[in-house]
Amino acid sequence: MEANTLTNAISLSQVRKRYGAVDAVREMTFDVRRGEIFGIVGPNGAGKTTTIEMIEGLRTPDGGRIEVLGLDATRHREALKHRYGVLLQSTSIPGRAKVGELLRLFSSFYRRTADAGQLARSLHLEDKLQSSYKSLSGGWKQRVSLALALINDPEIVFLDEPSMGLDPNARNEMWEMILRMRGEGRTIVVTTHYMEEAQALCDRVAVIDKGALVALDTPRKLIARLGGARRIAFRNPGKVSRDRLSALPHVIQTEWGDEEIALHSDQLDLTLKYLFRMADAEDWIVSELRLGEATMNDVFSELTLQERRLAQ
Amino acid sequence: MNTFLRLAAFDFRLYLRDGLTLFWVLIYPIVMLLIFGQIFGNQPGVIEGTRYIDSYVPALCVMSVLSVSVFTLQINMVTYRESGILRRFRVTPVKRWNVLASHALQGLCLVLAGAAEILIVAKLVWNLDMSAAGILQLLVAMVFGCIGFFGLGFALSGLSASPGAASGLAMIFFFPMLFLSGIAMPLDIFPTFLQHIAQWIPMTHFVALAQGVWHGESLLHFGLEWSVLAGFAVLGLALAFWLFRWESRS
Repeated sequence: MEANTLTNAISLSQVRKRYGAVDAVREMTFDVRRGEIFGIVGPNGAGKTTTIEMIEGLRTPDGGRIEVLGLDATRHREALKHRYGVLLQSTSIPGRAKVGELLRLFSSFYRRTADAGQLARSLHLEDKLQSSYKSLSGGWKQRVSLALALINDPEIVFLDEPSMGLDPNARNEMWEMILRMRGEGRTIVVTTHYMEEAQALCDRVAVIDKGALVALDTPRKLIARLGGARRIAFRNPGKVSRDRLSALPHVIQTEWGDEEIALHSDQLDLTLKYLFRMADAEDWIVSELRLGEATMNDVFSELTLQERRLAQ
Repeated sequence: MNTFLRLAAFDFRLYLRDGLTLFWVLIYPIVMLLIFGQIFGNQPGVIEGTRYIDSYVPALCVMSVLSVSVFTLQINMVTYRESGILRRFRVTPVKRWNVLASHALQGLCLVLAGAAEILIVAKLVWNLDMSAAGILQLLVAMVFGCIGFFGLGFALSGLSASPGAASGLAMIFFFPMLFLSGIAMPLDIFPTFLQHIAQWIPMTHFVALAQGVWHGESLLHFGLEWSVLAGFAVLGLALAFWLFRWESRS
């Protein structure tokens, strides 16, 4: 147990939560290690929010046990609030508040605080302190939210959809800041809809569906589980039937565009063989062929679809 | 304590930045004062040797407690919650009493500013009779009455789903209390059954207390009124805490 709390920042063991007749979370067991970026992904209504809120102590599990920094999440809720920081989606801050006021207000909540000036500098907010929150662009708003999440120099940071609605530049900056937080030794728990984000950012990812943990591993291993390269993209030759392509051996999904067609296959070699045979027979050519690595997107649809099939 | 004071200062600054909301606090009571004062102000009052205006001023002061409670505090709290900031506070060490107390302090400042404004205008326009003892006693009564009425405002905020619904609910409580408590016109012109109903409204006793102590009667003379306000304070506080919500229901 002692070693456990040294290596794990958060530990869930057989956690359950019901709302009426619905099992929001079923027998959830996993550990978040100290100093890692831990992703939680899953469709809407999968139980991500309930899980996070139980870890934050806002909701009490109906069964099982949650330890955060070695303390019971419910019983030591108030003490733990001093030790974690939270980034919620940007709508939760009054628009008329000024950035400097927000930093001063939030630092008054905590026993231990980061140096607000230094924090503002490190997020490049020092010129925005007199700006009202609503006057800022999406990327700057997220920086302010991040500053508020870090104002108590937290050991754990919870990030809820940190790059939702950000343009690609702002998103990359956000990712850099999150990686820097890990460099400072913090544990980061991030929920996201963007599989690209989970893949680029997270050390390990938990895939949750229908209140249950369906997979937990590094993004690389999750992807490897699907069997490596498996997306076959080529120029749309214009005179080919979608149904016939979809019916090729081992094709599990097709993406259809006027410019490009992509087939997803669980047996790349065989699908390619029959694709070329079909092109030959129908007298067209497979051109601009590209074979793609599977991504977290594939992992996600594969795992959550699998669950659906099992449930039926 | 630092959290509470910072929060109060923050709430107040946000409130003042939205100028329109000051209407109910600073304009409405003065409009009432000028209209009814102009019509009845110099007529003889209920008590021998006083004018209508002498009873109307303390009544208006307690009316501002009511309007700040059900309009300002209630709508502010709903707006606050629906904007999501309370949800954000919930994952910090901020407690629910911090939030309620900071809004209550803001309400108290507004009530006192409103009362000062009423007294000054009444002095200038009608050369109102006032004594230091009367003012002090009125303040004591007002501050005590704030507990229950602010509690009512906060409790209503827990029931309203949107700022629009909050104003609707505020009207439902405000106007009956205004007319049945003897603020706008003396109770004895109402039919008997309405006078009976009026006795069950805490506002009626609040007005009676305010008018009595303003005219120099001892604070100790109002056992019934103090009891009603004390009971209302306990109820209001309990409901305020019980119905408090950090998040919108949707």
